[in-house]
Amino acid sequence: MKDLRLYFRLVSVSIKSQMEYRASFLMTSFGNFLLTGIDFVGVWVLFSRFGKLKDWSLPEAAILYGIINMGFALSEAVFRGFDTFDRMVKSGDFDRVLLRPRNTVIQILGQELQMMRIGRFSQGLAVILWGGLKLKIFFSIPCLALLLFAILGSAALFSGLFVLQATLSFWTIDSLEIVNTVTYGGVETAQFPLSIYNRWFRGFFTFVIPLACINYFPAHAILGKKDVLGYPEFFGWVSPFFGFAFLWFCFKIWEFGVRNYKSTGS
Amino acid sequence: MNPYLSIVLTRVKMLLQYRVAALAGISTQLFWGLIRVMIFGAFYEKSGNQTLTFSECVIYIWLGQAIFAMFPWYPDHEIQAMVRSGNIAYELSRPIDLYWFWFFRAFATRAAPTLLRSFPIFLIAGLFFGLKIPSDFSHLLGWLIATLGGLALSASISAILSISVLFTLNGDGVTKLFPAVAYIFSGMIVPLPLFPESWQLFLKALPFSAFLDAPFKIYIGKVSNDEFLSILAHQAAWVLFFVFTGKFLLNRAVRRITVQGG
Repeated sequence: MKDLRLYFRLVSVSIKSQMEYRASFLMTSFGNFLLTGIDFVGVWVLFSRFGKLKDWSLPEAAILYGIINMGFALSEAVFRGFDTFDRMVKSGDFDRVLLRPRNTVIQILGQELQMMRIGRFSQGLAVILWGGLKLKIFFSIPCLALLLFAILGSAALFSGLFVLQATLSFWTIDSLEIVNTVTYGGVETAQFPLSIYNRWFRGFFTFVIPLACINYFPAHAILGKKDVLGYPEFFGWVSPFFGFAFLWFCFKIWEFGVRNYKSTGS
Repeated sequence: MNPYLSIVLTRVKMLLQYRVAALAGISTQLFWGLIRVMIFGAFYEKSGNQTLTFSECVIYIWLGQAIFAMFPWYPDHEIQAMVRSGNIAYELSRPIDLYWFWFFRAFATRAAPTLLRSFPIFLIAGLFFGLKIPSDFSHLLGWLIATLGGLALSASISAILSISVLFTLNGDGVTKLFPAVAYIFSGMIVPLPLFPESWQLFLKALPFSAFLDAPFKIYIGKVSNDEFLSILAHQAAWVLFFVFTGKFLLNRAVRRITVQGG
């Protein structure tokens, strides 16, 4: 409880400081909106050229696109401290965090809530609203609830990846760009139905990093689609849970990393 | 030695040291290329008959990945830092033309990582992932020449991005939006021939087709000699345009410059 109060204090300071530069905030948010929204232009061009992607239409793909982009934007905003954690290890600032009698995770999360990510979030929202209105899925409460569950699940999954990236920097000191292939690459991958990829790739994004669980399966449940991979429909109603399980697992690895942390000594 | 040539050479030499970063870049690009090949494969499955065949599309994707580092992604970070710290004063006192100094810096900054990354990508994608090497050597040579033209274009755009920092100080805004526009309209996300027919003329006229799309057409041998010359002319026209705009903006900026900091 105390930790939660501390988190809100830290975050409100972070937001206030970002709002001091209001023009910069508006510009970068708008830039983020366009920069990430351009991906959807690409998706649109492909569908207008080819008509369909296997048995997926553009509005259906828009649901996949919206879930993953909104989830990723939330995660980028809230877990910013973990995304840039390598700087803390390099500078030795993490030692200070350890000295304070407060939860380390809360302190790192509290460093920054990056507001400009609202750009990606709102383009994802716009896309999903468009797709959802076309498909008329917003009139069912269970569908809406599942959509929210999937978005939060995907935020949790990407947050887990950020935590993992931060944990690796305990050993590598530098940030590992290679993690970008599963974060940004994951977003890129999940904008399209997972069934189009080959087997090893699908397996990796289902069982190692449960990307399929937070958008492919729930999208089937929401759209009432039959899965060509043969997973039962009810699975989509519960699968976003694996996003949270993944985050929990990553925090366990993080704790292991913290126990073995050796300061860079600078 | 010519000062501009030595700027390029020393900077390339310096940047060639970042081999670990290049390794990360190469694996990212390979991963990215693979995803895109699978995505396009799925789209092509049902309707193969397109303005671009699937195997051409695969070549397009891999050429794009190979020259990824060439793009005018951001202004020169060092110039950006100099504008903020006030060290820009040193730049202004150099006995060479500031514009060309920055232009050739940008050229080297784009050329070095592209050199480091493109060869392994060519090799791996060529051996395993369907990047065919042209049977006619002249096509390869033509592609190389046009890609060099693209590099010059990228340097002239990068220089403008750096110059824009003199006006905005923080380098937000234009410097973020311009690369995004360049990215999609160059064909990096979706090959330009797959865009709607009505857009084609417009896409071709934009400067960004000079990065990837025009060199690609030379690579697969779809270009006659006359068309080859018109591609180079298109590139040269845009490079000149950006160089003059850059010089003009830099002149104005230098006249009203405020050196920050103390």
